[in-house]
Amino acid sequence: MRASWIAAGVLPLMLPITSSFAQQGPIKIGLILPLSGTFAPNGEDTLTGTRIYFDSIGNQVGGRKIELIIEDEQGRPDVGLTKARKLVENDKVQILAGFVSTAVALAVNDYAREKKIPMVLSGDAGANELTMPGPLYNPYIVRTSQNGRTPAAAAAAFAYKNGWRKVATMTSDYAGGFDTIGGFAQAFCKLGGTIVQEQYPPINTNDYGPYVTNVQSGVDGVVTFLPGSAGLKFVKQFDELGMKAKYPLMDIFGQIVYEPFLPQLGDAALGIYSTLHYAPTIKTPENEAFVAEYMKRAKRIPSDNGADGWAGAHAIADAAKAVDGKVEDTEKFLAAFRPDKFASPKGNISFDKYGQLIQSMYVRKVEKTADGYANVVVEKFDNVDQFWPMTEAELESYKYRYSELKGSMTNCAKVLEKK
Amino acid sequence: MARILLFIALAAVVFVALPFVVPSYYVGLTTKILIFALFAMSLDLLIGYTGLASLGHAAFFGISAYTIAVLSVKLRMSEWIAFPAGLTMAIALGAVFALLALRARGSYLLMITLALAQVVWGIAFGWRTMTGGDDGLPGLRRPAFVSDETSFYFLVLGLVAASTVVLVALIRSPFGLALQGIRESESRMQALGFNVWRHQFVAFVIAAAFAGLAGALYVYYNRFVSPDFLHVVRSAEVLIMVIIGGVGTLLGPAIGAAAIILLEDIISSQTQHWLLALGIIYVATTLFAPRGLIGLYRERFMARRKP
Repeated sequence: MRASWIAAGVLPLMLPITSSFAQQGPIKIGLILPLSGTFAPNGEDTLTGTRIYFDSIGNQVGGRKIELIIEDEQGRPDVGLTKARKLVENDKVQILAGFVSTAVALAVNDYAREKKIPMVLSGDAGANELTMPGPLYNPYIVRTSQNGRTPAAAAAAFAYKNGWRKVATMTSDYAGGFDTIGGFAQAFCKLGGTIVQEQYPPINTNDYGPYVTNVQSGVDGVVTFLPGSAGLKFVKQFDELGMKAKYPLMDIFGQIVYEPFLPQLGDAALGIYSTLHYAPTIKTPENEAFVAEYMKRAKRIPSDNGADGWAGAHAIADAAKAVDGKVEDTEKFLAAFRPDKFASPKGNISFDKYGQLIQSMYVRKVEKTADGYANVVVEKFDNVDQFWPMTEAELESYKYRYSELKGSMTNCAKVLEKK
Repeated sequence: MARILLFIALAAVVFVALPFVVPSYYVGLTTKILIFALFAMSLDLLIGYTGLASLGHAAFFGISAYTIAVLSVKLRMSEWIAFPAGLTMAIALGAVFALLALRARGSYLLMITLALAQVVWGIAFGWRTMTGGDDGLPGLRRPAFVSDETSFYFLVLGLVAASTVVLVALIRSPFGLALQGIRESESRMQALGFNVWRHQFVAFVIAAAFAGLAGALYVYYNRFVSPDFLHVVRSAEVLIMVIIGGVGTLLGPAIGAAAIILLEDIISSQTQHWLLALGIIYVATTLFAPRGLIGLYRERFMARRKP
């Protein structure tokens, strides 16, 4: 009698130790996102998108509950790394996800690689090198957003197809800017176009007048990458100084025509082209359902970050399901991402062997619709992988990295110089 | 005296036993606290003991970190060259800043140190081929003998403890007393025959050296560097650590560093509105503990003991 009492008391204490029961604990996902500071809206969008997907599957997969632990990286790389350490060592998460800032992703990269923790880039972090062979490549990374160069390559393809041969560029003076405009220069030069002028206004420029009036006359179009409020300030002056009537504008990554800006810009934004891997106006059942749910929760239209977060959550759930919830088996779990395919608000999605998403790129144009100003899709490139429209071997054969081309993008011979 | 020795012995036991008792995350967090404690103490030497307010202290912290990262990652040099080079750069920059900034006092000194630090930040941000621009420089390796968290913790603990001893000795030395005299009244010290400028210059360089040491440890701790290391926000952060802990008490800023890092770590995991919570705590501290946490402790507990 007494022995059975003791056994009854001891048994539950021993159970959690055995591995089959450890599996029954929740799948813990640590989300590292900027929730304060300049990039807080991007972080919040990613978070909302992630939640929408996990809620839709009841926060459960492979017989295990999904638990999200959210940490604010404040846009500071060392804080991001501290948070990653906390999530992995203290909260024992099996997966890290999120990441809007490239600097934060780079700071956590070495740590995640060393600890062999899967890192799902479901936020904006777009450094090309993270998913390409090289010193920064991390086999534990899966990216469900985009890399810096593909929306730029899509912009080049569209511009050339529409008869643009000579363009002027306007790029914010920082790392992400060179990675983006370098991608454009390479793709555009290869098609046979030329950049005749590069300008790099500093990030916090207030008066774009001098840059706008300095645009070389006779170009076929102006190509920009001006994130944040820079785009807003630029386009107002571009319009007021009468340049918009003269030159068509291509906004890589849709930074100027970011949906929340459109009502403020009004007619000044009409006719601006932009390239991105998402548009809220995409007419598919997946996207219409997503936009409706997003509007209900956040009271605004989703940006690409929301759709990326949704795709990240979906990919994690699919991979976890494929390994019957055993996400602790890291190698098998990561391998399960590679064959994953699904329809998302962004369109059809699959993965390449490096863990980078293959998706569609959209060229959008601002038009006045029944619902107000909106980015309407005018062209779509399907199955765009991270090397598109080139092959991996071809992209690797070029001598200069994008950041090294700043100041010499007008020289196509240098841009396309081989190793 | 006996009480101080007991306190030191107790602290030594706690810090040495720590990595064997607490989970690895807290070992890492304590390492970070020790590094920022050193950084805050170095600033206290300037603000608290010499009376020179600086808003550019992160420049020394950051330049040492950048020197080490660039030499190790870009130029593949050994840590035996990179580490001393980092400290040397911090000292050299301290001398340059002192030469330029010591003409001014008070809020003008704040502005000049802020401006000089922004120049250094601008270089780190703009010189992309060397510094990696705003992406920073990842890929730094720790020296082989401190590659794991525990041994690195002991390295940091040893260096911070040794630095603290040096700083205490410095403050109690005739030189340190002269600095405090200058803080109270420059003209009187001048009249007594002290070379005020030279004292301030040396204090500035020493403070820069210890800030550089903290930066060197921090870059090995994180294994990357980004412009954020020497941004004005970092300078302000360490200034707050000094003020919250207690200006001119040396131990106070170290406690301030621990308090702020722990608070930020705990609150920011609980709520998205952690900045608001931290702000309220700062305001409350300045209102109810104008002489910092250590001042509060002394007023409340020490006063009672002296009947």
